[in-house]
Amino acid sequence: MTDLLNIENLHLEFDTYDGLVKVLAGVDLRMRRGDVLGLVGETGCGKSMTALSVPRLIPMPPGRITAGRVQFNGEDILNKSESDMEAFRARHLGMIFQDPVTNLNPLFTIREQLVDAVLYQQAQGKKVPGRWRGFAPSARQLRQDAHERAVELMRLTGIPDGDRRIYDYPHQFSGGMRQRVLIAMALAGDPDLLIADEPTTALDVTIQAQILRLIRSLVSQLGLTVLLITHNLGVVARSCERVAVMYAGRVVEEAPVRELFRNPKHPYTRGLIAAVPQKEVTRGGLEGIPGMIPNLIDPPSGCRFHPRCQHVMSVCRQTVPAPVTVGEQHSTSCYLYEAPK
Amino acid sequence: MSALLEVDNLKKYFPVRGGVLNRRLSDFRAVDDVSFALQHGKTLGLVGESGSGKTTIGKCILRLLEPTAGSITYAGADITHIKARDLRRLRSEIQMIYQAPAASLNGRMTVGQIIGEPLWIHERLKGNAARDRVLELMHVVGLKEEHYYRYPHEFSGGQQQRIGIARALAVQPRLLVLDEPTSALDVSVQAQILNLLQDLQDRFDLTYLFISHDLGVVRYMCDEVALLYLGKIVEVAATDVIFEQPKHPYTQALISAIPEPDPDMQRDEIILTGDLTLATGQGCPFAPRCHAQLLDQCETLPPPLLAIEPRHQVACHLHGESA
Repeated sequence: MTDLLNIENLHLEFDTYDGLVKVLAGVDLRMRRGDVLGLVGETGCGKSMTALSVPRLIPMPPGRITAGRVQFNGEDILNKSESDMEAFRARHLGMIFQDPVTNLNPLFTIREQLVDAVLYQQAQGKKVPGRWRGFAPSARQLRQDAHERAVELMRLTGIPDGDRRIYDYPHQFSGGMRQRVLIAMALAGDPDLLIADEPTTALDVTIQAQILRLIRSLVSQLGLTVLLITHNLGVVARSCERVAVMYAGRVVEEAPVRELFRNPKHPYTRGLIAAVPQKEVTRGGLEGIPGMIPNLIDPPSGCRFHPRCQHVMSVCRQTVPAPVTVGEQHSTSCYLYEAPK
Repeated sequence: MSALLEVDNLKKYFPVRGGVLNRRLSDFRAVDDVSFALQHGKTLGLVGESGSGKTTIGKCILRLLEPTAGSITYAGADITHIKARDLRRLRSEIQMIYQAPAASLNGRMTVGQIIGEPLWIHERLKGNAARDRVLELMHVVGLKEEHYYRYPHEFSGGQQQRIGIARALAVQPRLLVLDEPTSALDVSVQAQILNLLQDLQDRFDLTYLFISHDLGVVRYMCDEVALLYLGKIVEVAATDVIFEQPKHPYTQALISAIPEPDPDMQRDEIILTGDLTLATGQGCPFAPRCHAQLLDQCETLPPPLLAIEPRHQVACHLHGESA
């Protein structure tokens, strides 16, 4: 079976006044249908950029993909024309973002925005080739169907009283409810892949728990494939089956979620897990990772983590470590695990 | 031993105005009858979701906001209504560290000026004497000497927060109000800042009022925790009591919602319905979202905050004197 999503050796750069920022330096990521993959990392590690390369929403210029490819269902995405891309996004992708406030237009009711999304997805996605125009349903009928679909989507995403609240404006919804509206919008076109970019970061914990449960139930109900981007390891532990950890533009470790937390290999992953205040940690026992995220205009040579790594060896400064298999479906890019030659 | 800070029946209402004459229509009760005491050298966590009033309490203590009612006692003296002249002295005792490090630093001042300004205001210190103190403070919080002439935008979030901490420490305060000091930071940096705050507490004998929505961080930092819901305290107890034997249904739900980085953890997840905006009637403010069985009085009578054990108070009819 081919992978649903296959990102290979993706390199992305941004031109800025300060210089060329090497945002992604060889990202590899694969997802099969039905996967729930968590992409974890800290600010600036390139997790959002990796995700945005799938719908090709990275502004170019200043962005530039210098190497690598992105395949979706075996199709190469990077070579598609912009109009093909529009149809592709509508047919296959759904996205939700961090901030539910700025992603809804305050001047339109939820109905206008949801119906718009449904109609657009249908126009792009459900086009029947060679259909005789005379038999096409009227615009009014289409809008009526779209309205019903919108109410159905609101019910699916757990918004109570959808048939009444659909006439409300975004400001009449709370943060958690707005995020549900955005999820409904993302689901309008029956996407194959849902990309959720920090979907709960702006929300309170009790609301975060609600949204995560909603995403989990959508996965089991609709068989969605989800790429969940987050900086929160706890969110990953709760919602994902597999995890990829990114650092400074590369995936440094990938494993099934239990394996990753039970048996983390890469020094960065270990540091990240140790930095979360957990139950057993007593006063003074929390470990941070010394130093800070590198400047990607002039990234460290070799392994980009080496200036902050406790186990640094001379080889780490010279060449980039390749992924090594360290367990079942578990790989990490670190020289500590390279078989002795 | 008497408490360093005592807050009694603190209320802060914001007027809701409207209509043609912009009349006061009603009050928004941001803080509604909150009382707590903070012992010298300890850390009290104020926990709640957005809109629970935790930041408002912090600002009232510094008198950045005027309380509507109630009293605040610092080191045995009532500071609720002291005059502007005495406020300056108060603020060399109590300092605040803010959530957004970038927004709380003046972008047109260098690090040296930012940390040096309180020294001039409070101690009339300038020139080399001030410079030496600033450099010492920078060293204490882990900044380097060459950062002295740099501007805030040249620093990462964690470093900016260090600048804010150094500025707060400049006047040698005894009490720090920490308003979500790490919620804008990445975890690896958050760990550094939390450890720095603990070191500073031991070194300078500081008392912390730690405001946060992150229960994991609170568990790590605090001796005692007070949970707020819609401007009221729903439960107060020592940290391990709160986490091991939470009594209030809201506390139980919050604790079950902590995203622990442990996929194997057995949990009885309690997922609350609705959110803070649900209208509350006469009774318990949490009643519309409560997952426990509702009693008759939950809808009609606001539950008082009662001690169920020494140093463990809960505001819930299920744990009242009748229960």
